[in-house]
Amino acid sequence: MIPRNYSFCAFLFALLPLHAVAGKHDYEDEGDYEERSVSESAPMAANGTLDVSNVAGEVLISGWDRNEIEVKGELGYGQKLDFSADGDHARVEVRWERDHEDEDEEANILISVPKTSRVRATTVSASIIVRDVTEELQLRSVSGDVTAHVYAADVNIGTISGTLQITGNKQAAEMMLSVVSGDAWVRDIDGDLTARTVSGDINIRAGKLRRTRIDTTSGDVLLRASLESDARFEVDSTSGDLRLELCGKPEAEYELSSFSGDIVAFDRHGEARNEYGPTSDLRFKLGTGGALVRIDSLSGEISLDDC
Amino acid sequence: MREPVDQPTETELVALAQGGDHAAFEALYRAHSGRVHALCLRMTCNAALADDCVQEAFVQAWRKLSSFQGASAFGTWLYRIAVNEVLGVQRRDRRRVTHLQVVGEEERTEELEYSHSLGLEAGEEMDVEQAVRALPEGARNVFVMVGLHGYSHEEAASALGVAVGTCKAQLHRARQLLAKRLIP
Amino acid sequence: MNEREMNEALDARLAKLARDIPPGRDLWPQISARLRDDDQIVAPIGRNRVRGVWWWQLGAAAVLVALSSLTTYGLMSRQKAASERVAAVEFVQHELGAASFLPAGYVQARQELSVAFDESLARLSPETQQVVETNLRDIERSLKQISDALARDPGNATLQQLLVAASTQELRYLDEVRRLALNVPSKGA
Repeated sequence: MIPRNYSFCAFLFALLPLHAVAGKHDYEDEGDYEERSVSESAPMAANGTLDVSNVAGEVLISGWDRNEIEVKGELGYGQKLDFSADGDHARVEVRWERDHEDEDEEANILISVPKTSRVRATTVSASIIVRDVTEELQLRSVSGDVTAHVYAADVNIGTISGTLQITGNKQAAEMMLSVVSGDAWVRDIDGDLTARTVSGDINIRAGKLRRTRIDTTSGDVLLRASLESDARFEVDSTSGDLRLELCGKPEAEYELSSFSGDIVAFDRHGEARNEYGPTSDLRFKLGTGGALVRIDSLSGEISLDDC
Repeated sequence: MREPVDQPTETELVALAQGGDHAAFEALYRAHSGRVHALCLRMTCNAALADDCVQEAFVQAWRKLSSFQGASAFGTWLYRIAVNEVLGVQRRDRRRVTHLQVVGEEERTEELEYSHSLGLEAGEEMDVEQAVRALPEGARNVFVMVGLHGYSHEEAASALGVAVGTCKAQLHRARQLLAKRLIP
Repeated sequence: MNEREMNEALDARLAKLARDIPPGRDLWPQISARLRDDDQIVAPIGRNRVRGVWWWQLGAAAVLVALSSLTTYGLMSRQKAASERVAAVEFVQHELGAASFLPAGYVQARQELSVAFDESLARLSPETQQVVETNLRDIERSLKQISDALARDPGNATLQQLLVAASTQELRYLDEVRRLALNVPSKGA
């Protein structure tokens, strides 16, 4: 979605020129649903560290060119913001006030930090959105979604039931992703990738990968990428299907094996190995074979193709 | 005389779309976009946002289509995706208000676009639409989902992330506020 | 006007609201362009294909009884679940000879992580607990499938590799959930 300026509907209605209903523009009795604004700021070093935690709602972390941290947003009823900053390290924590926890309440926080900050964010059900921060990111959520634009620095992102949406900058970096039941969507990354899922699907569109390790139990993996000439590309699946597109048919040693799933790689088909079970193997070499592509599956299907 | 061509059923369209058939998915879009748009429009109160939500909902539905097992009607499943999109927009919207100046001209333009998108002239129906639009967000969400689009309290509560009791209270509040405004 | 009459009057007015409002412009071209963009990366894979799962006949009925707990759906008591998981793995080691293929220190790491995991699970919401337990069953089921197949074909390098990967996945999963749950406030704190 293209961001635009928006406003509360009720506030908008208050300025409505078309339909002047005298004395009845605004509804009263907001009582129980009152939200509380927060606003904090402090100096922050360009290479400082930000630690964020939020129980529910949304955290948006945005990089800017100032050596300053600014925190704005609204807390839900019963929530409290703890903020501290000592120049190199800032901490923003949203938690429940003593003896109060209401799963209906949310805190929506916008944090602006120097774009070369290191960010560590952990949430329970709050979503995490990070943009314009070019250094190391560690983002973890139990059930919230995680959306991040990443650059050349290391990235470690995980969630149990949230969805991951990661967009790279086509700069080589080291990325570790972990999902359990949510899906992961990754685009425009390069470098080293480790991705793990239990039942969520992983969808990757990458540039050039060097070290790749993907583990899935039952989630499907769909990937399109090129490989470096000395790449090591390894995928293990129990029952997730693997649909992989390696652009240009990389010059590599290929070792593909599936216990009970089908294998098709660049129009070659796996062949049954032995009399003890249905295992299919497919081993071949393309070109000088500088890279290694190893894919093992118990019952998931393996499909390997050119882009 | 030509034999009439049987139109595919929705189940058949879904199966075709799950196989990658764009034309089948377009047919599903044509069948459901009006209701999805009505839901998004009344919850966001903004024509442009509603269009974005509709578009995003159908794109997400396409991506998740393989997970649709038919336990619910396709429309029900689709509306859940649309509601999630709207709620995400509402959360982002709340945050932007804290640090953005409201521009009067822009609001009037948005208001015109919203009214125009309803396709109504000034009159009784416009009164009701404006009354719905003026509801507080939480009450409006529940009213639109339960009161207008047939969600059960349990379904709406689950989608909105609130307790069922809260959902019922919000609907009651919405109806009280609407009655106060619309019924002399 | 009494409350009933007011509700009826309100319902009469609300009934006139359109439930179907077409977008002001045709959104399909933009949607279609994004679908084509997605399709160039991936194509939807149907989950509703039946995946072949090879269940080998087990030599010993005791193995079936011991391992059947790993395939039980629903929530078991957490302490019972942890002890059953450990017992089952030890049984796998002794009876199916898969021990030599498991990563070094696996059993001990699993036992320790399981205890911490069970404590962490209690901090999560019921919905998340359900997701966590369901996915743990998924991993355990995969371990069982691989172990069963390995029992039949102990020399199968693919199965050996998969067992290592699946057991490592399980340990990482227990640890990941434990670490994430640390950030969830304790109930009543």
